[in-house]
Amino acid sequence: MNIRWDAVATPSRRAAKVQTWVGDVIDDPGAGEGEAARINVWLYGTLAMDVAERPVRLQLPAPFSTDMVIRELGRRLGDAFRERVLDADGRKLCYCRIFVDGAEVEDPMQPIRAGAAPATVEMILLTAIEGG
Amino acid sequence: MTDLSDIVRNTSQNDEWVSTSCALCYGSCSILAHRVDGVVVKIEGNPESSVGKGRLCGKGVSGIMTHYDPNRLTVPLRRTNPKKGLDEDPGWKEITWDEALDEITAQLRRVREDDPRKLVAQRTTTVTAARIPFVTFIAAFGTPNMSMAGGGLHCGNAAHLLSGVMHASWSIVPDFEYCNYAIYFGASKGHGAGHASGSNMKLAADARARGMKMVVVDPMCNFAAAKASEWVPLRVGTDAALALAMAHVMVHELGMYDAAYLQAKTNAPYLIGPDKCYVRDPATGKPMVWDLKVGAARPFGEVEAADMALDGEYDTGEIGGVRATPAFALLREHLRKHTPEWGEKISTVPAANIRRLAREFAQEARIGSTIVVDGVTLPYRPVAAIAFRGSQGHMNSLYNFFAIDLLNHLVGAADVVGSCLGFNPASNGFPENGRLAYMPYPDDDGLMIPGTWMGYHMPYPVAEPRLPQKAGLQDFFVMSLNTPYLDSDDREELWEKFELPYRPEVMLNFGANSLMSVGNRDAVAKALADYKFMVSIDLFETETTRFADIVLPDCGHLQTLDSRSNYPFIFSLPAGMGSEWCWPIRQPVLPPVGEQRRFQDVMLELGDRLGIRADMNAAYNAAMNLEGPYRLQGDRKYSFEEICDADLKNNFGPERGLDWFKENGLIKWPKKPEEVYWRPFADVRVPVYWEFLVPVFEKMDAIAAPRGIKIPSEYYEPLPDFLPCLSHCCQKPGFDLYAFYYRDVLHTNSFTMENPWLDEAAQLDPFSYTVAIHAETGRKKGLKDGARIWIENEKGRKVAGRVHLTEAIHPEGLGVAACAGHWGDGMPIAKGKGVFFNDLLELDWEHSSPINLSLDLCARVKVTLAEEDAK
Repeated sequence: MNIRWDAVATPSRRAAKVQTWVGDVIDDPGAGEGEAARINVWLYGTLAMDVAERPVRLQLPAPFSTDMVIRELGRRLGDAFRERVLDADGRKLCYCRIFVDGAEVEDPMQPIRAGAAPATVEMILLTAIEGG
Repeated sequence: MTDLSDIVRNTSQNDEWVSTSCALCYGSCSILAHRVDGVVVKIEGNPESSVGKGRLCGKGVSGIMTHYDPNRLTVPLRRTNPKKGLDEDPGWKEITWDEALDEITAQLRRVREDDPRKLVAQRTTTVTAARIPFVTFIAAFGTPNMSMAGGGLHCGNAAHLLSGVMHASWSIVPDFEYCNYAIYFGASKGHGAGHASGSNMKLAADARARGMKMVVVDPMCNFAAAKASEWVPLRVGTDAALALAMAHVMVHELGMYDAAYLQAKTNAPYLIGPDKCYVRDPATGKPMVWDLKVGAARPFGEVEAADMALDGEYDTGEIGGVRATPAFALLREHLRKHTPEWGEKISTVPAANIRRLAREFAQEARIGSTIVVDGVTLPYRPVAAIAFRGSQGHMNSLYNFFAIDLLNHLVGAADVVGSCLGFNPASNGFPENGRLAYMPYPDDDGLMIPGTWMGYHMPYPVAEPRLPQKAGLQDFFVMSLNTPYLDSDDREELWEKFELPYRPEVMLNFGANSLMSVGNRDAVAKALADYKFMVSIDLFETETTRFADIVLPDCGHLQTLDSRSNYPFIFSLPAGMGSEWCWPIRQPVLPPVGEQRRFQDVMLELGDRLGIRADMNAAYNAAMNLEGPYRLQGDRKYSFEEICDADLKNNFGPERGLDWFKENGLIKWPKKPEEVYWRPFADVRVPVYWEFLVPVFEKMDAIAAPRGIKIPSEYYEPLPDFLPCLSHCCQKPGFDLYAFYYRDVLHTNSFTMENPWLDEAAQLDPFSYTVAIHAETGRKKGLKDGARIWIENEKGRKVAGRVHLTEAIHPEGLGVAACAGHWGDGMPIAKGKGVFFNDLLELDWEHSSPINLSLDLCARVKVTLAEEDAK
C-alpha cells in the first residue's frame, strides 16, 4: 500500500495558543493612527556603544513597527549601527533580538500600537556560537 | 540496579538523596546524589527522569572522585612569572577574590573601552550550565568572540549544520523504538558518550534485543561496532564515498526511492537552471516546479506534490526563459559516476558489500508504508543512517554528512516512525500553558527553518558572508560554527588578509583545555601566550589554565545550580516516543570548598563591577525569553538563584519556581506522536540539492578573491561528492597509516583522566591508553603488542605510545582513544597517561575545511619503534 506523504498529514496540529505573561497589546486611543507614538529605545551590549545615553527617545507615526525603529536609529546612528543589525539586503539579523514592552517582536513589519505611555523597545545582539 | 522507587527523601537532615544533574559529560544525565552527614557517598541515576532513565554510566557514578579530588583548585591564584610557555612555571601566588576581581575588572574595562571585540570568551562544551551565563556576559560586554575549543571544533561543524538543515535539530539518532535497520557512520549513539547518552543506552539495548539490525561503519570496531550486527571497516574519512555509492545503487540499480516524499518534502522537484540556481517565477520570486498535469512551470506552492516532475528537462519558455531540470534529475545524473566499484577504490569497502548494504537499507525502508502510533497514522520507514563525530572530523565533513543523510531522504526516512530522528525538533510545549512550544517552519522558498536552535544564528537560512568582525572568521565562513583560527599557526596572516580591525587581547576561559583539545600544542601555546591577559575559571590547574594570569577556583557539578540542565530540548533530551518531555534542574548538593565560587556568580559580579548589569539583565531576558513579571528589570542586581527562579516560573507558572524544583527535581509530561513524528504535519521541505551554496560561494569569493584568498569552489557544489582529505593525498614513502582518534566511553575530552576510578578502569582496558594497530599490519612492521612506538606525521610532528595489536581496526588505521596524554602537574592522576594524539594535528588554513572550518582530524603517519624497544 503506497500512501502519499501529503495524504498522511491532517491539517496542522500545532500547539494551542501559547500563554504569554505579557498582556494583550494595548489598543489605547492615546496614540491613534497618524499620530505620533513615543518610543524609548534601550540598546544593550555592543549596540549601546553607538549611543551617548540611554534610552534613545523617538517619535514615530502610530502604529509603528520595529522596522521603522531600526531605520530611524540607523538614520541617527549611522552605518555602524546598521551594519550590526541588518544584513546586506537590509533585513534584520536573526540574532538581533527586539522586544516591545517586554514581548519579543520577530516580524519587523508587525504594526504596534502604543498606549499613552511611551513604548519601551529593547534591542540586544546574541551572537555566541555553540558546539559539542 | 538499586530499586529507588521507595526512597524516602529527607529521611533525616543527615541522610538525603538529592536530585540534580551530572556534568561528567554534556549529556547532563539526571542523578540522585546520596549525601550522608554532609558527604556524598553515592551517585546513581534518577529513574524519575527521562534523561538517563535511572541509568548512569561509569563516568557519572565516578563524579564523587572528581568532586573530592584533593588537586581541585580552592583559592584564586595570580601568576608571578610573566613568561608563558609550555615549560614555564607560572609562579602562582595565592590572592584574595577582591584582588582577583579588581584586576580582572580593570583589564576588562580597559578592553571594553578600547574595543570590546578584543575579549575572547572560551568555554568547555562539557558544562552545559555555562551556556546562558556566557551568552549573556558576552552579549552584555559587546564581543562576538566565543570559542568552544576542541570540544566544539572537532565535534560539530558538520554534524550540527546538517542535523539542523535537514532535521531541525542538533543531532540525529535512530528511532530506537521502531527502527529495524540502523547504519551508523562514525557514530556511537546509544553505545558511548554523546547527547542523551544515558537514555540512549537503554533505548539502543532494547532495540537490539527487539531485533534491530545495527551496521556500524567505522575504521575502529569498538563501542558501537562491538554491539553491532555487522561492522564495516572503511578507510578513514571516506564515508561520503560509501554513502554515495549506496545512493547510486538505490537510485540506478534498484530504482528504490520514495518519490512521493521527494516530491512533497524536499526541493527535489525544484527546477534548476544552467546557473545551478532555482528557476524562479518572475512575479512571486518563488522557485518553480514542472507541473506534469498542465505541462508548464509554476511556483512550487501552486502545484500538487503528486504532479511535480522529478525527472526530465523542460523549456520554461516565457516564464523562466531557460531550459531547466528538476533537482532530482541532477542528483540522479550526479550519482551515476558513484558506482560501488568507485566507492570500493576509495573506501576499501567491497563493492558487493556496498550493493548488499544499499539493498538491505532500501528494502527495509518499506517505502510507502504506514503505521498507527497512539491512534495516529504515520509514515513508517524503519531505517536510519546516522553520523556524528567520526564522519565530521575531516575537511570533507560537510559532504560526508550530506551524503549519509541523503540515504534517509531518498527513502523518506526522516523524522517519521522508525527512521532517523532529530532530537526533538518539534514540541507543543508545556501542556498547561503552551510555553516552550516550537515547530520547524518554511522560508519563502519552502525550505525548513528550525523551530529552535542552540545559538541565535540558524543553520538555515544561511547568513550573508561579510568581511569578518569575528576573530574566528565565522561571519565570513557562514557555513561554520566553531573555528580553528583563534589558535592556528597562520591566524595573523589570515587576520591581515581579511583586514580584521583588531586583535584579541584578553581571554576569559571557562574549563576548556584548548591546549590539549584543539590541535598541536605548539600552535595553541603560542596563541595563548599572545593574549595580554588571561583568566581561567577551572576545577583543576590544567595545561591551559597554566597559561593564565589569574586563576579562579570553580565549583563542580555537585556544588552548582542550573535551572535548565537539559534545555533546549534539541541538545540532550532523548528523542522518540520512548521518553517523555522532561525538564530537570541541577541543584547544589554540597557547599563550596575553600574559596571556590560558582562561575555564574562570578560572571554576575564581573558584570556589576563593569557597570553592565542592565545589559546582562537584558541578555538574560532575551536568552531565556523571560516575559511579564519574570522579566529582569533595569540594572537590578538579581542573584543567580533569583534568575533561575524567574526562568522556571516563566515556563511553568508562578507555583513552580526554584523551591518547587528543588523539592521535586524535575517536571515531565508525555510526548505526542505528532511532536515526535512531526514531519508530515509541517509544510516544510529540506534541500537534497543545496542551491543556496551557489550564491554563498559567489558572495564569499567576491570578498576573498580581491584579497588574494582562494576559496576552492568544489566545496560549494550543491550536490555532495567525495573530496579527499590531505591524508588521502599523501604520497610520502613510509607514511602508510591513517591516524585518527576516537571517543573513549570511559572518558570525556581531557577532563576525566584525572578521576582515579576512571583512570583505573582505563588502565584495565586494553585500548584506552594505547595505540591500536591492526594485528597483521603491526606484525608486518615488526611490532609486538606493548611495544613503544613513535608516530610521526608528514610534517615531522611526533607522539609516542604503546601499541595494542588488534583485529578490531581497519588495516590502514592507527587509532588513539580520547584526548589523553596530559603532561601538566595540576592533574597528577592524568599526567603521563595515554597518547596525546592532537599533537599530530596541523592547525592552519591548509588543514581546515574551506566551507565549514572543520579541522582535518586524520593524519597520514609512519610508525617506528622507540629506541628502547628497537633494541
